[in-house]
Amino acid sequence: MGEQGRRLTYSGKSFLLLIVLVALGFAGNFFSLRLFTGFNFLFGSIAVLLVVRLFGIRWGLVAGLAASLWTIPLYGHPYAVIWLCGEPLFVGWLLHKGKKRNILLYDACYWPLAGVPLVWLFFRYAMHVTVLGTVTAMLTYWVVGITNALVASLLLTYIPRIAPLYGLDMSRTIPIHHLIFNILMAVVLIPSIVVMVIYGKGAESRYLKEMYTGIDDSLKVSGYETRLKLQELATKAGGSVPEEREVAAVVRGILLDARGSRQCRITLIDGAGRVIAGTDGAPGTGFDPCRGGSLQQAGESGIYRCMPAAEGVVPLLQRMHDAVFIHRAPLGGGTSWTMAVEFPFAPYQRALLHDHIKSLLIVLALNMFVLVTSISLSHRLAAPLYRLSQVTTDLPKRLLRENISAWPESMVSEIDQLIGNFKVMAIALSQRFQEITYTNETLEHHVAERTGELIRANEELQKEIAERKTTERQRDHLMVELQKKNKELEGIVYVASHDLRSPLVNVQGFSRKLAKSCADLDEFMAGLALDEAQQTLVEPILRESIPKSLGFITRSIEKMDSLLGGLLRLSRLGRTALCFESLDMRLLMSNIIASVTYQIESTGARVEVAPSLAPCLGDSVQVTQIFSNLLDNALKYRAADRPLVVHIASEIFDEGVRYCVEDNGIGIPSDQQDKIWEIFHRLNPGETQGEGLGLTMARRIVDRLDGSIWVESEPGVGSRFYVVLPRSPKAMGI
Amino acid sequence: MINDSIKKEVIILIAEDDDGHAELIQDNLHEAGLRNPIIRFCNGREALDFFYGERDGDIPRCEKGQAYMMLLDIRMPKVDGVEVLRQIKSDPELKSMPVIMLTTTDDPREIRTCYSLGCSCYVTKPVDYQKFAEMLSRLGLFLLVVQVPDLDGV
Repeated sequence: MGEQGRRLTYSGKSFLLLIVLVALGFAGNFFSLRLFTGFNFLFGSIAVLLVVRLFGIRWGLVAGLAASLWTIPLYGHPYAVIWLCGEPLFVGWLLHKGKKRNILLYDACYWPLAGVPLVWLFFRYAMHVTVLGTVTAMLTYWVVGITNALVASLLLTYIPRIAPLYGLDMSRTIPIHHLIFNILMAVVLIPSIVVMVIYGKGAESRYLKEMYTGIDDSLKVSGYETRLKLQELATKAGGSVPEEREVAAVVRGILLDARGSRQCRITLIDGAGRVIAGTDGAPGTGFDPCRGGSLQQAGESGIYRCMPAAEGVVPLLQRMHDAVFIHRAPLGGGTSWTMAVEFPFAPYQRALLHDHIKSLLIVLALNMFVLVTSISLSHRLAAPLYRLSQVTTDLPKRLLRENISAWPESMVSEIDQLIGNFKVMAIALSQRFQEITYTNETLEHHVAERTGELIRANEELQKEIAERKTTERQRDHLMVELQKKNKELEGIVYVASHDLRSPLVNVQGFSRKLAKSCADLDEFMAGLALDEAQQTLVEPILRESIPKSLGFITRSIEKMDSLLGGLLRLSRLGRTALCFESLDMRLLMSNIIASVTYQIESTGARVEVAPSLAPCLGDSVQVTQIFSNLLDNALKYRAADRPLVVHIASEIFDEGVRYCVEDNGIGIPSDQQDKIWEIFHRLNPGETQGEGLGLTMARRIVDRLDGSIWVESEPGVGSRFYVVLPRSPKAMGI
Repeated sequence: MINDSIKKEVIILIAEDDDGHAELIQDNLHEAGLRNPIIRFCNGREALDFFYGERDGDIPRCEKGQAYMMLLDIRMPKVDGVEVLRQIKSDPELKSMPVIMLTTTDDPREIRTCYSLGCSCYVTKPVDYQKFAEMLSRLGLFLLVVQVPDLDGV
């Protein structure tokens, strides 16, 4: 997780941000706040730390370099670059290695561990700065560094919101202790820094003012005393200019007195710029207090600051330390001499630095205190939340495994309430989970049961289906067999009747021929003259025996012929094609009646057809045959003692139409009622004609047309023949 | 008009496998008064060979310019009557020959088939003399007028 924030996305926008931050770093140092000479509040490291955090060590180093370059001209030495670049390096390395991303903490570690020792090293040994100055510098860098780190840290808590804008990959959340830490530090540190800065800025000018006052005082006093003394000397010398050597010694004493315990140099200079007398310095030498240094007007009029030339690299503060403030004013009193007062800044600087160190130490101490307290406090505040978040991670799974008992506690009422809510929720959840699990188990159990039942039912069903299929197959097979056999049978009948016919033809023909031959013989015999005895022998043979025999033969042949013909017709019934259509039964009946009109009239019979005779579905030729046969039978088997009355009617049922042919004939005895349907069966063979095929054929036809036929009869009363045929679909609408 | 030299009697061809039937038919023909020469075939193969077969010793073959009339039984071994009828009627030379079908069956389908193939007449056996004579006379008059010389003017 520590890497994520510094994954460089070289998008245009993020690069732009980088450039801006580097520039800001430099600007921060350029526009640093001046505390006092040699000590500035450098803001640059804010930007540098931001770069380190967002873009990594390398860019952090670059930023650090760019920013700290300004310190070279600012302070006059290049060594500041070292520890100002070390800062991003150290912090960056820790960010890379460490788990937390707390810049403030890392920075707070950097300064005491690396930064400050480096300052000491270079200030003391490379630049030979005073201890006081070094210590002040150390503390200043430390405090500034930490403060900047704090600001950077605070800024970073807001950067996650805008990081997506720059294509930076940063987590959007910040740990709570981090937040608390930052806030506490800010609240404590920033006011203290502000106070320090304000105080610091004032301190130097105060000391300077003090010094200027001192300078002025010294000048005034020394000038006054000197003038007095000179006047004295002048009066002593009687109006002439006293001797310089004398003057020098006397004035020196005065000057020394005037100086008192102050650290300064007072010098009396003649008109030619040569020292007459001074607290330090030999008389007669040229007055050149600022040898090789730079002279600058400072503050009040007439006071100049002399900064000595730096030998080697020396920090500004050190140069300031060596600075001397000079005020040179004419003596007056009739002479062209001037009095110069030189005040070194060192003691004032020391005092200044002492003050500064004090305030820095306070700030630092506050810093440390806040650091420690805030860490512990934030942990105290955040720990319950952290624990809570740990406890509630993966709550569902946890609840299933165990009962959660390790709830954190907190004295913060909101957190406490939250924890309470979570507890309640966990209990409720775990209850629900239990219920669900239970229901689930029972459900699964039920489902398993049902599935088992279903499987069993299915298996039974499958078995039944298989059985059915087998049965069906068998039935189909049987049907096919039956049809084959049927066809075979019909074929046999057909062929047999043909082949049987052939010999019949011969028998018939040759019997006839025989009869003719007999007749011819008879004729011939008649022409012969035969005696009685011979005639009585021959005649019976020729005239009785042979013809009688032939007669029997012929009749039998004829019978056989008609039987065969009947068989043939019967077999043909199964072979003719059927043409199913809706039949108008009234028309059909009238046709049949018309064809037997002669028989009906000659026997005096009456055939009545019901007017509402229902139509049916069938083949017209075949249906005609049925009813024709029935009518023929009725005519054949009429009663001798009464005229035949035939009544034909119909009745419609769901299954079909039932026709009834009722007659008042001789009826059928009950033991014959089954036999009448047999082939060649005749009720009264001696008395009636016919081959006994009529009803057989009728039944055959009815079977083919999907109907049924049966009889109800009473001997002596009559018979009722019922024929059921399929209903005509057209008629169904009626 | 009819040139005696090329005028010949109609030869009656009978194709019938049953000897008894054949004899009866011949009797009938005699009784009807026809004395034309008769050639008997025992099956359809022989009948066809008569028209299409190669010279084979004594077996009779048809001659050009000779008039024929055929009595054809339907049910015959080897080649049956319907097939013979079909072949004859599809032969341009023999198409005009009168063919009478004789059979025991009165199956309307068979009758239809034979008529559709072009037979002149269809007679069911037993052929009783009267019917036969009647039929022949219908046909016969026609025949006698055209072809049979015996009864014509001698």
